[in-house]
Amino acid sequence: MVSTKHVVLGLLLERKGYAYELQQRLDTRFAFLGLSKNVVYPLLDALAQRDGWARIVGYMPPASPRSAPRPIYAPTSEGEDEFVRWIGEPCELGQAREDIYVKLVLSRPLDWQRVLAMADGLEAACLVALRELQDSGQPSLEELMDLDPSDEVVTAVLVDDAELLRLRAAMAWLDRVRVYGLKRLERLDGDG
Amino acid sequence: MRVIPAPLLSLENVSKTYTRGLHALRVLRGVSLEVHAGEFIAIYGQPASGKTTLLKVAAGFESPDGGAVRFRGDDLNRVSSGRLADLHLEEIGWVQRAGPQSSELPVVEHIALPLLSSRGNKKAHRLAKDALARVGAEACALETWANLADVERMWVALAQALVRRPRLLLVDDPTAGLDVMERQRVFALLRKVADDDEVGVVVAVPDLPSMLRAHDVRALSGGSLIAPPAPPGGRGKVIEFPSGERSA
Repeated sequence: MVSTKHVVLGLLLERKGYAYELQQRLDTRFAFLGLSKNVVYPLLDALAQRDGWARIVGYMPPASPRSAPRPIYAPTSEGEDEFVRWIGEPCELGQAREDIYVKLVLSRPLDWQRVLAMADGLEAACLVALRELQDSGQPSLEELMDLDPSDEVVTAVLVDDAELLRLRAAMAWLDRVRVYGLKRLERLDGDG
Repeated sequence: MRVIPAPLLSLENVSKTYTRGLHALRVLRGVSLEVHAGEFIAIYGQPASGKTTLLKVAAGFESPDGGAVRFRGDDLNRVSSGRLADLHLEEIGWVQRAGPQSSELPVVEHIALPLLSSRGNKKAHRLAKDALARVGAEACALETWANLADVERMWVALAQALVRRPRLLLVDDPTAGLDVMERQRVFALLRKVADDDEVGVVVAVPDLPSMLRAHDVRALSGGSLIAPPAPPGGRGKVIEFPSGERSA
């Protein structure tokens, strides 16, 4: 799992901000993380009060006369050091705990009809994800070579490209599962 | 009220098995697919997954063992051989990188060949040059097939299919031997053909990134054609409004 605390710290390093505005930046840039609403409030508390990686540097006027002023956060020097350390830390290779792997491990004896149905379902999910990438309207990484894009566009395209190649690997694996499963079923039919 | 037009091409529960000695190889298992005018569908499959067989059956070059293949309502397995030949000449474009019989024939002659009897020599050549220009390969016009690079052969093959102004274009792996930028160009052109000319385009490809240009995607695996669930409201290109406007 990605450390959401470090994501918020990174946003603060880009520019200081207050909770509501940071939540909006989080929602816009990192929608794919599927974070719950208002997640930024406890994270800012943790960053400022427990870790010492951020501090309050001022206040925005309250949104209404009855509400409290809104603290503006900025990273501390310890926070900057921590962010650099975190960026250099090896990334976890995600997605190794998808449903189908867990179900495969728990399927004893293997019911190949069921495994093939699971493969169909997962492949359809891969195609849905592919459609979403189509609909995102991002240029491809290859198309970027002819452009002079902003860093924001480049990072978005790199993330999409990673997702695309992950889908390709998943679909190649599903094909192997299906080819092997069909052979096993045909052999079972022959024996029967 | 939305009107969904009849598909240009439909495969209904199509199956195909090849027999090699004592072994039967089931290549297609109950494959169903609909392609509408102006729709660009990319089919992803691993090598030897049956992509070429699927396209050949869709084109009417091979008969299915079971199920039906219909082009504009006609069952391709039941039409006369003359009618099928006419369809291949005029309405169903098949893109393959096989060159002309004569290695001495300039590319423009090769492309003009199918039009000579219906359009006459002069017009056929003009249309052949236009087709080459459309794919950006006009410089190849006087070259022979043997002198063309892989990517040029792809463009020429596309021009040869497009010159007939087909309603349906079937393209078997246009990415082989092409670098990533060239693949992008090929798929951008196919998208344009579908969007601008209302041609139904089906491409089989082993390369997932290329598929992003398509309107919709499928995967062929183990002989089955997997489709993503239809999104609410459809995907636009297949839905036509009575006014003639199309959804985006």
